[in-house]
Amino acid sequence: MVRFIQIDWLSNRVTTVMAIGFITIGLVYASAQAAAPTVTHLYPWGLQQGTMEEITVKGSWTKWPLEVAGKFPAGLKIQPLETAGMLSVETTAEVRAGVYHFRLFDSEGATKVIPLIIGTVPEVREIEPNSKPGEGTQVTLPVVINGQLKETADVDVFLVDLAEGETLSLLLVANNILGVAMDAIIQVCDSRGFVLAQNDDERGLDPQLSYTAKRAGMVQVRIFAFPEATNSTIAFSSNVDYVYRLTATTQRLLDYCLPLSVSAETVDLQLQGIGFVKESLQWTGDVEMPYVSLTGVPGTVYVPLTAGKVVVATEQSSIETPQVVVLPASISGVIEQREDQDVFLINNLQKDESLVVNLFARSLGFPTDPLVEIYDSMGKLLSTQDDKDRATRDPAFTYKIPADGAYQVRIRDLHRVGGPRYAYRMEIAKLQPSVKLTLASGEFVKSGEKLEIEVSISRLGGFAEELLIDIDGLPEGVSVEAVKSAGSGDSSKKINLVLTGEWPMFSVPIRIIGTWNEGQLQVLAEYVVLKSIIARTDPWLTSIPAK
Amino acid sequence: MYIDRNVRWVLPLVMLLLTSSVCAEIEVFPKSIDLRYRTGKQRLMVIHRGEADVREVTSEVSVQAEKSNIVAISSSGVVSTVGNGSTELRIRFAKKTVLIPVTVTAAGQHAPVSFNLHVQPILAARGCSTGACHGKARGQNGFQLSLLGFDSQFDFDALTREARGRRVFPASPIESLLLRKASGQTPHGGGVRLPSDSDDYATLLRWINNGTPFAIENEPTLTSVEVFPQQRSMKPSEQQQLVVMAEYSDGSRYDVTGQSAFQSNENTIVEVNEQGRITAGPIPGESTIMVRFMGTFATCRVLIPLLGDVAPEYYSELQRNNFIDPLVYDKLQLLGITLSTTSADQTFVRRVFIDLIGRLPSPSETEQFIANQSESKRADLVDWLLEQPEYVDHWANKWVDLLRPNPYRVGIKAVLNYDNWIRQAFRENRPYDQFVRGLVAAEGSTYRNGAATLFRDRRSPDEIATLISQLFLGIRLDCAKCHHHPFERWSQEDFYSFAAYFSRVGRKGTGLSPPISGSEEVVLGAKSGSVKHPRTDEVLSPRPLFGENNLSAEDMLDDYTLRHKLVDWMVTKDNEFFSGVMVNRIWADLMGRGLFEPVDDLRATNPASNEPLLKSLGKYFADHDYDIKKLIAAIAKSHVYELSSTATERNIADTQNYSRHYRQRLRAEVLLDAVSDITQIPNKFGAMPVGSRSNQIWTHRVGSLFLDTFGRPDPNQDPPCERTTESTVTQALHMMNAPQIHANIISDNGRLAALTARKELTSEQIVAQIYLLAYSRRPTDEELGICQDIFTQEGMTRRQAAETILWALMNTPEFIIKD
Repeated sequence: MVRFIQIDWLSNRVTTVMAIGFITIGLVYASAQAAAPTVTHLYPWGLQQGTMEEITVKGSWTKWPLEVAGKFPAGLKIQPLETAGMLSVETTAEVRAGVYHFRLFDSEGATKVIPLIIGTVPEVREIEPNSKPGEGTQVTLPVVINGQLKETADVDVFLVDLAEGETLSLLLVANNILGVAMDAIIQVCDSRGFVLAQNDDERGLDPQLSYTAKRAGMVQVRIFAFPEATNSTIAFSSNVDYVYRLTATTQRLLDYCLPLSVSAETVDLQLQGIGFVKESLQWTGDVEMPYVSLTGVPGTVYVPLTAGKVVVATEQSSIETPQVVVLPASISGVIEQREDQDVFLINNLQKDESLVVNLFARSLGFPTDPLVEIYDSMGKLLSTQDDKDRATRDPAFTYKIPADGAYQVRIRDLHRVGGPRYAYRMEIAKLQPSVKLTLASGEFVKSGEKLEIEVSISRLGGFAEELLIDIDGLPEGVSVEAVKSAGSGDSSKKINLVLTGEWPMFSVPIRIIGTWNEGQLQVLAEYVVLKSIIARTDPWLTSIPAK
Repeated sequence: MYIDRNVRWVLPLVMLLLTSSVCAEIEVFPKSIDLRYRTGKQRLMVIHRGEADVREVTSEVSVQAEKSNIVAISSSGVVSTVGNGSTELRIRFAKKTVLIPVTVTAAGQHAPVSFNLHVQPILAARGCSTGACHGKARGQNGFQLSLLGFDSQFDFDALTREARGRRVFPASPIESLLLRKASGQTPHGGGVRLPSDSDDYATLLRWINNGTPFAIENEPTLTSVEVFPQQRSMKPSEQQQLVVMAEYSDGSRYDVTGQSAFQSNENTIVEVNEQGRITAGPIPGESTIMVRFMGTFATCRVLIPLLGDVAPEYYSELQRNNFIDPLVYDKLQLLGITLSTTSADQTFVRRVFIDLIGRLPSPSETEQFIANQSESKRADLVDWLLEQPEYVDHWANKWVDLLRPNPYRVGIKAVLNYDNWIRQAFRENRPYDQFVRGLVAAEGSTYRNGAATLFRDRRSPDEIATLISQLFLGIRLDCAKCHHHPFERWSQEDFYSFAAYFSRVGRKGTGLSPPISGSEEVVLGAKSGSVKHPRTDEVLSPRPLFGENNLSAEDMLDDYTLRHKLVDWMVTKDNEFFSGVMVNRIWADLMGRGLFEPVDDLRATNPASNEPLLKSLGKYFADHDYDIKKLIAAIAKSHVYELSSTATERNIADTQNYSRHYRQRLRAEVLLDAVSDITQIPNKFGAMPVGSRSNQIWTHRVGSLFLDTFGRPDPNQDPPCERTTESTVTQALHMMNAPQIHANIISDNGRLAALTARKELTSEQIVAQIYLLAYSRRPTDEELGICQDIFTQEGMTRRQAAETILWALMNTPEFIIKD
């Protein structure tokens, strides 16, 4: 077993892949018409630490059981049951809470990466019918409710008994992390159905809200949805794949922590969320499962590893007293109130050096719409940066320093609003030569004579090395000719790997590796997991006979 | 910032009434006369203040000039130039004499005639430049003038340069088409507008003779217009001539009555003809006569008190619950109108439930209230109702009509979030100034900040400006987009300067693409943007409609600052437009009629029926930090709110002074929810959870034939949508025949099935319950007898009888109308 770790401090993505070797395929080829298995949802889509669940898999496959591929800690077991479409998932209490990814595969291919959430509090499944007044079931908090909006124009109702002044926090996960194509809405209503609070999009398309009861009594929590892809139908949307996880608590809810990234030096994380006041936690996470959680407290936080200096913005940070940072840095901050801004000073920058700046806020589930401004030492505004592009609301840019000196980098919300959830993380560094290989997909299926895999090459900071791009992990009988990517020209941006050979039936994880400097240095090609910023380097290659 | 309109008319009116009862005298207008040129003329106006009454006596007085070679006086009281010099007019009536000094200069000269000063007023006054004639967008028969002469240069060019110069013909002025058509010598679709023997004809002829000058040397500009009298208390059928004086920048004053336009805002109460003669109608009440001369306005308020006396003690002894009551009584005393009695408990409880929370009281709520012996029970009920959750959706439902756009235009998600933003404001009882700030200065994603949808729907500065000014200031600026406002002082420059506050509203994301338009759009400050005057192309700086709003050059470049500064100016506590339009909306909702109508059209030429009350309500609202609930409570706790709607002999004709309660048809949502509540069959709507109330619906696109029938706004109509409360035959037929209402009544799961299944209840008790449900009162003995007869009809089951009675009650005015 070989393990590769790549740390890319610019994107701050820690990618881990374990080459698990070839998995013997003992399955008999069933049909020339067969196709790779697919999974459209799990139900439920997670479970509490230290529990066991039988999980329903919805999707398509030729023959059950499918194989499970993934890297799991010792206390987590995922096994197919005899009943088609059922998995047994078992965790010990020691298994770290967070999002795990796995695939199901057979001889015809592998599914896309499937998320599985291990939580910290008890979980229940909704009980239908629960859409009309009087039908809702009462839940005991804290809890994760696993629900499904599958009936026509479905509405799910749950009942919660609140004391006067008690705060109910609700956090729904569906579109984020799970990739469910629904746009859910949460309502808190009184016992007669009058809406007391409502939220649509706190974390991307997923809702989150807190409601403090003015008077004691039962409240209804209502969930309904519209489709992720907007249309003109004036109706609630429902689908068997509209599976969600609703966390509900009247106690603490872990939302995020500061800093939002960690380095080898990081010791303490300040916990943020409902009910947390100056509480910190010692970082003990491992880089392969970079999540933070507290036993019995709902909420898990993804805290990626970064190569730069980890910095937390101070409250004193201002134009007059900027916070000095040394590059490279991973800066975390919160725009706490209206018209607030964080100001950082970078000294000793040289003319014609370039800064590489990447902001993460929307992509981390925060409402912040970050705006970055660069000022010279005389207070002159030199550059204003908003969205990276039409689809990416977080800024990402390079800035060429016009003259030697010190520069201020100011961050505020575009709309000058603020609040406890207006957090951001900024990765800032001087531009250095670097390269990144990107795959459009994490799954490749060969069903013809040959297979071509396109690899995009992103070269930064004048990286002009000639790369040799190859595939590691191909089964016997299949070969690929390594392709050179020159320092300039078409091949510097994109190459195609052509796989040829005997093509026995197989389905295996592979690695696509770029090397340079006579193989001394290497980079792994990445693909991004759906609805996340998590990059993986373990694409799956499947071969099935030609039709 | 704002003229005190109370003092402007109430005090003079009071003085008028007081003085008329003390001594007799005559009042002459003007106090002195200064005529210039051969054509100088001045209309005299004489009012006699007798012990019993006040009336115009111009045609009855004796007028003599001390010197006969200075002026001539016509039988109708018009003084005209004869020769240079000074003299005095001796005006006598009822043994009283008043002397008026007169001076005439330049009697031998013709007045220089300017297009701007003299011709334009004639074209406006004779109707040539009105919207029905040459002032409409494409003109008439190829001849176009600017509406009411707001663009003199355009009109001058139209007259002197277009049509190959045939409209004016200096070589032979009387052959000019302008004169021939207007005087009827050549066929003219608009008829004879300027008889050839009229002064106006002579003025135009001289203008052409003089070479059609646009302006004269050192031409003064119009500074103000004054009308006399500014207020009158008149008897039915009495007449009064108005005199209009224009004052110019050089200090000169001219009688421009003949070139002015007149309009009454209540023709049924007071009429006015083209010559400015007003005639009181038979109905007591009040009207305002608008006088317009070259885009400048003056008003005359006319009061027609009810004949007969009411002792002053009557008014002083009336119940006063708070500051509202005496202000209403003051006005009623001027009109000689008396109050209706206090409403019965069962009437009040139904009214206040409907008004404050949009539903009928349950039978137990009604009976508890009636049984309550506390003296403060009505005020206590108001306070309790304002804390009920129904308050939120009922009042938010009114605002969504004004703000919420069509989801097919802006997208479902944007509308859903906008709707929730509005409701959240009412959940929090957000102060109104903060509510407005949240809208006018809205930024952010339409997916996260619903208020930003306002700027997704309204996209250009002029579209935004008209909405903001109408909704939050009660100032309708649509007219000023294209021309000077015909009934107000707002010019195009005023409008576009105001619109410039929105010149830097920017957007990112995906714009509109109906009929889905579902994508996210973000409203933000743009790096550039300006608003130009459409005629002059001048870039205009942001400027408020009145008063000051200090903006630095830097402020003008920043959208965030611009819009927040605009809101700062809007919500200033002495901005009576801001508070006035909101208090008027709420007053209209609770009292059945706005202090001014339409409720968002506040202007000098459409004054409130009770200006002191409007001012005091606005001050109360501002002083209480724009707390909407406190304002509602103040109105609902006043004595005038709790009056019966039953008229007395002395208030039967009153429809605008709140001497009694004015009945209203229930709002569509209130009525539908009442049907659901009474029958205990929950509503079912698309895109809403089962059991939702109709006032919780987040878009008018959610289908409901019932709501559409009872006046819910058309979902295709752009907001703001004001509703009508008219009753229609369709509504009556719907109540009688709608399958859903029938199904609700006869449902096995409904209230009547359960009620009649309770064997311990007698038919009398069942009937009482049904009456309490529908009317919030118990049946009278006669009604009970009729209903019990139904129970005993052959073949009629208890349930059928109950269903029949409920159906019948639901089809009566007492159910559909809020009393």
